[in-house]
Amino acid sequence: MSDNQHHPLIQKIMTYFEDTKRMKKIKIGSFGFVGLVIIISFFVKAHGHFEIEDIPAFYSVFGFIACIFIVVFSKTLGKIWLEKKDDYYE
Amino acid sequence: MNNIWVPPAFIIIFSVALLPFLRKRGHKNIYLLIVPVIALINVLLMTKGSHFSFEFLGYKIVLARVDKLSKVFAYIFVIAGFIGTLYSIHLKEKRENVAAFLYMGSALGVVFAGDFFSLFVFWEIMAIASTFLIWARGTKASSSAGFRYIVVHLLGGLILFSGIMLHVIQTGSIAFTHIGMSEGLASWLILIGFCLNAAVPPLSAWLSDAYPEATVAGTVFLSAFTTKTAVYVLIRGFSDVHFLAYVGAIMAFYGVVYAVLANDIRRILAYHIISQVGFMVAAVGIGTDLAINGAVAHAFAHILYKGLLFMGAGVVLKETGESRLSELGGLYKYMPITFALYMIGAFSISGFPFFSGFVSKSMEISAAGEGKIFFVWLILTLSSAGTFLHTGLKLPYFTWLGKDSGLKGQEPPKNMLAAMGIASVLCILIGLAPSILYNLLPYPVEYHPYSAAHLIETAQYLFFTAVGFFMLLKYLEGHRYTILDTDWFYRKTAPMFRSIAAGFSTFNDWYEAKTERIPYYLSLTKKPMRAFVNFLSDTLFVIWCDFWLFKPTKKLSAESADEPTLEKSILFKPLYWLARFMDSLSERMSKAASAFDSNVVDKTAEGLANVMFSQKEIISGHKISSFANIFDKIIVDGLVNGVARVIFYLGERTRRMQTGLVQSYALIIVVAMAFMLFALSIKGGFK
Repeated sequence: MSDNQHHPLIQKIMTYFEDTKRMKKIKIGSFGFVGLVIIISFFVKAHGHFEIEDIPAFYSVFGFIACIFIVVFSKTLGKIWLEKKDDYYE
Repeated sequence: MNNIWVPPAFIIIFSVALLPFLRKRGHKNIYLLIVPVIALINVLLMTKGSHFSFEFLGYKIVLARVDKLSKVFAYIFVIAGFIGTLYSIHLKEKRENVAAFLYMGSALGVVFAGDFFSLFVFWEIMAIASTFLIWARGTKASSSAGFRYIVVHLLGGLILFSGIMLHVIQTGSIAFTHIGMSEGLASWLILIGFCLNAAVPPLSAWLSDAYPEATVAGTVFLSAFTTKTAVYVLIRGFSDVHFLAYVGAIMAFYGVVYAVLANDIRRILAYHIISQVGFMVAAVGIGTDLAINGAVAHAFAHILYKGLLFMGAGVVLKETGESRLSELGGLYKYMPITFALYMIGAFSISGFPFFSGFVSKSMEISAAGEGKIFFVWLILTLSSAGTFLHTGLKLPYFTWLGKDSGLKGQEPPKNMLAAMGIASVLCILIGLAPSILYNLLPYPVEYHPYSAAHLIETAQYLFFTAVGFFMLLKYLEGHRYTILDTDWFYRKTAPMFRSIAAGFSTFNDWYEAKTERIPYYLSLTKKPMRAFVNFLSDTLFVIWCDFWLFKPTKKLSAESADEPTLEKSILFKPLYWLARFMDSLSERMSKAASAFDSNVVDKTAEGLANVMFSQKEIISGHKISSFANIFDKIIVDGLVNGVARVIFYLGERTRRMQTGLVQSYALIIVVAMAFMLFALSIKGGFK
């Protein structure tokens, strides 16, 4: 697993997270948790500053779109303009 | 003095003076850690009001303007200084600590400056001291990045200075209070000067260019002070300048975009400083009590978690020698504690509930919402997602997880872990008990971050940002690219200057070839008229020296063992001394000139050239078509060498004037008398 000698407790924590089956469970669990959060969000009246915030599960959609937008926007900008060879300034 | 405290800037700056005497490493470490603690106690003791003020040239200088706003910045600066120092005490050399202390002390000086004069002085010390943290890395890249950094900052300082001058002329006051945009050009110049230090694009390239090239510990200090003092002065001077809200929003997004493209982990973090400071600048522009509180709280929290992130990235660089994302991966096995501590910083910057970013960043976004500035609110929320995407997901994933890069490492020295640990504890503490931070803020806080709605919103967008990240994983790998930024304007426009320089250089070579031999011709000339003119000029020069410079010393006369016996006659002794003096003077001057030439001027020229052009050509030195050579030839040869040559030549001729012939000396006396009369008559005539 690891070449280094770590503290047994740390070693234990690392082994805990290196279990792929457990990680899968954690993944499913977190999806479930967020699903629950979204359901709760329908009942909690948010004091949004803008109307757009009243859309159901707005922040889920926003988070997802924001992530995709940032990556696509930046990478496109990089490809067509900003990315130069590594020795550009030399 | 009624106060038992002193301006903390002086404690830190003057503490450096004792450092050279602390030879033992243990003593040095204890001393370095105690000084920030003393400074912190000192800040705690400071009482509200304006202290340490005095008159200077008719203006009132205030070295300690103490209120809640300056105090909260002082607290965090001292804490950051302590953490950064703890992070660096394993180093044998003290130079980084010296630079860091000067840097930290002057940052405190800016924060407590109640007038523009002392503000500007500390502002410039800050720029210079911080440059040494970049140069201390000792690589070619860091040396040229440092030169670019200092030139940009000195330029910013000049702009600020012009603004201050105009401001003082217009208002007649040197006090640093709210400025606003009502003063026209003065306002703009001061604002630009401040914005340059706050890294507002397009004036931001110095940050992302230089910070990743600084030393491992240096970047931790750099991330804390320069941009945050700029936020502080913006709050003081421009707190309701509305367009800053939009500028800040664009800045926040700009940092996020560049962080996608950057490859060096410390450069990703540097771009995120720009993004995070964008939040603060936006809040300054919104200008409500909530917004200003948010800006201050965010600056406070930001210094802690950004320091923590840079410490984590610094450990990676220190232990593996690599900081490029494209070359890293799978390191968590070797440094799990560092990874865990880094992640605390990452959760904090991303605004996870129960971490410090959650309680500070949301104040600013709420302020934008309450002000109904939809654009700013949208961009800031978008940038929050981007922050998590890079600092919380991309960077740790490709550094510690992901594919195994084959790089091995180990946990860093204990002091580095301890520094990261303290920063982590503070991040969590602020997250769990925000009232600690809120009580320090300049305005009363009526904000409660832990509302159900806020928690639900945050959980949703953080989670779905992570979903998006894992979907786009393969597009986010690091690639070895250079990313264009506004530093292009001073790094890539070089060829144009170079061709102009080549023209100058050719002309200069020709000119030099012509002029180099003039003294030689003059000394060889046999023409009586020419000889007379030479003689006259020499004589006048001697008399001039006699009046102004003639101070023979024992040392000079003692060197005269091999000289003719004539010197022993009392009549001729002074003249002989004079000649000897001139001789040695010229020799010394030329030595000094050549030393100056090779040590100072060459390096400065090279540095300037590095700033303006790529370094390769200057280092290889074969091509003369560079700015360095132009500078060298025209300024150095033309001025320094020229002066040295003239002095050398005149000194030589003065010495040869000891003909031993009475008539020569008689002539000198006659000419001298004539000259004196002439001089006196002119003086009388103008009366």
